[in-house]
Amino acid sequence: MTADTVLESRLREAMARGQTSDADFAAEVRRRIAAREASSVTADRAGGEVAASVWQRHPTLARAVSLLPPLWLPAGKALATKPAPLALTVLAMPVLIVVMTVLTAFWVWPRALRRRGPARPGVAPSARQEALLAAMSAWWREHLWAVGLGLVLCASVWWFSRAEGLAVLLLGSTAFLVVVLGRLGELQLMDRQQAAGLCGAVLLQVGLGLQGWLLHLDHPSGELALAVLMVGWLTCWWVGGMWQRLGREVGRGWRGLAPMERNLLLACFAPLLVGGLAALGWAGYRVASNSILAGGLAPADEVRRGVRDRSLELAVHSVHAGRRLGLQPDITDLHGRLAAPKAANADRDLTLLGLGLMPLGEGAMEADAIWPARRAPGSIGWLEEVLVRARALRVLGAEDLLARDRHAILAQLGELWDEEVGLLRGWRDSGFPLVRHQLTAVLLFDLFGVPKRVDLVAFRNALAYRRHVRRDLEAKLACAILDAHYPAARPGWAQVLLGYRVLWAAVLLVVITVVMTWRAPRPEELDAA
Amino acid sequence: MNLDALMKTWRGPLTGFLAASGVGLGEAQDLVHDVFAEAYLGRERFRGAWTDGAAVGAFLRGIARNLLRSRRRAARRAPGSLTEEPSAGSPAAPHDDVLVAIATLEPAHREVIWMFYFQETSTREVAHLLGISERAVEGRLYKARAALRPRLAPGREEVTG
Repeated sequence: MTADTVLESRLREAMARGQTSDADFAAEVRRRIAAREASSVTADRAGGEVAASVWQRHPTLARAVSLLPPLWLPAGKALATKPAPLALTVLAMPVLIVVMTVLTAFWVWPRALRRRGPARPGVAPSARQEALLAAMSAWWREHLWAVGLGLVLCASVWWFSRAEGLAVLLLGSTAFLVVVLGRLGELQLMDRQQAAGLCGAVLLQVGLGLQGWLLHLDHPSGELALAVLMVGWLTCWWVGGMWQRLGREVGRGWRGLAPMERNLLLACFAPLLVGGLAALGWAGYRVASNSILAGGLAPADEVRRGVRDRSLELAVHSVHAGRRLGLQPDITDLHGRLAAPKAANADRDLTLLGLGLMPLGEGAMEADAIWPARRAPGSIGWLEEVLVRARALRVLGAEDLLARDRHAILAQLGELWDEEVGLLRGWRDSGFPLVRHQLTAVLLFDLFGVPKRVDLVAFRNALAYRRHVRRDLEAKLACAILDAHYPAARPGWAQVLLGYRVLWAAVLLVVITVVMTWRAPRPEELDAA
Repeated sequence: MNLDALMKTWRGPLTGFLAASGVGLGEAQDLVHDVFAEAYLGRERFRGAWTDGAAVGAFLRGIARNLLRSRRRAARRAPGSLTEEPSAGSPAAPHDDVLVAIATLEPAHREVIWMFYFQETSTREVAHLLGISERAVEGRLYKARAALRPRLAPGREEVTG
């Protein structure tokens, strides 16, 4: 034996100490995966997707960023749905209201107008502008407590329900605006342009400041409300002649303005205008794309889309979902993709998911299929594996094993449900996804029935969020199966009206702002008086 | 992804990679469970084919390094929770002289020794995991063996069995 051989054998012996067998090692890894999934699912109770790794590793950062409305975050960042602790969310709400709505509209905006001076540059501010500013400041000082109380009220309502919180905020803004404009009107201080400036600013700030939450409701009224607010802003400016004023200012050129004022105007106005138009366009696109009100494409089209999806997993799910919907999707391409050696060898779970789509005998399907069937029910890990196992048993005709598993699987689904939604269900009606693998869960319901503990109404709400807001194909398919096999009771007209409460509040705010702008006297009428 | 195949291929070099980084062997064996668990849960973040060893190696290396960093951070907060590799002055078990000798190697050589010998591993997996070429791995192995030989069998060029 050479020295190298001795050396190698000594090295191997030294390192072989304490090594566990491959089976024990794999079992421990799977146990840790299941434990992490359970804990991450619990943490995602209000949020759906697992946060991106960088945010997961920095919980403080994740918490701070999660206070932002989701649409402010880059597309594709799952962080967008990572929830902040409830208390922090509630704290963030009044702060954003103050910053985005009240301060900007009633404090920064009038001051910015005043700094811009009267119609002719180089002339001191008119007495009316000074008086207007003084009246606003006085009103602000006198009613600070009322504004604070209103904010506390909004936050309290927000605690229980986002939809109600938004509606109260919109109604509160309406009342606030009516009172302020009424007071200024009494003092003969408000002309049409100034009213348009204030009203438009309120609508713009409410719309932009809350767009994240407006679009995050599990209901189309959020999108519609945002569109209405943006249209209202443009209408107010049109009625108030702000566009002409803007044209005059721009037409006269920048020469009359000090560099500081130019920069201020550019910094404040340009992003607001661009942001407002972008928000309007986005809301309009979402309304017009038909996926909000009608739920998107017909189930057959969704299934076809799913079968063609790049993800084999989703494609297989789509076929099974399509079959449950009574459709016969064309799986020729999918069959080829599944039968490819790469798919069969590289991913056994995936191949197993395809059970029932391929005839037995192709590749190592049977051998692979037995793998999950051999596992004891107690060792079933995550939801996907439960489905794989159930499909394998069904294809193999092992109905006895399937029946033996049924109780354990239903219990597991029930437990998952309790972990996911038990705490939140009674607190918030507007929704975030509650179960991560909704389609898998629905397919399991389909195989084994719905556990008693599972509330299908809440489950459907969670799915609706994903279907409407995130346009999640899996959620759409899951909804289609639920609608087909577990039809919900038709809602009454009062329920439908109430569902659009945020929209009605936005419409009320817009109508009042437009009417008040229109009723305000023109500048020349006020001068004549 | 095929988790079983992934574990079968990468368990050995990953454990060696972690053990070579300074944590004890026991700690490394424990940590490698977490690496695979994280890899499975974060599989959607993986960009590339699971059959591409270089891509998988880079993916696993990133996870292992992050976990190691977290474990060390936690250990700093709770001193004594992280077991370190045996030092040169305290051999206790029959094979500790081997481990101590390995610990005295240069970091790059120590790394490849751990990764290559911990389980049945080829130089290809080691190369993928370290992000270097196979020839570089072979070179480091050669130098590491040369450095270990006199330390573990001083004065003997050949042993007869």
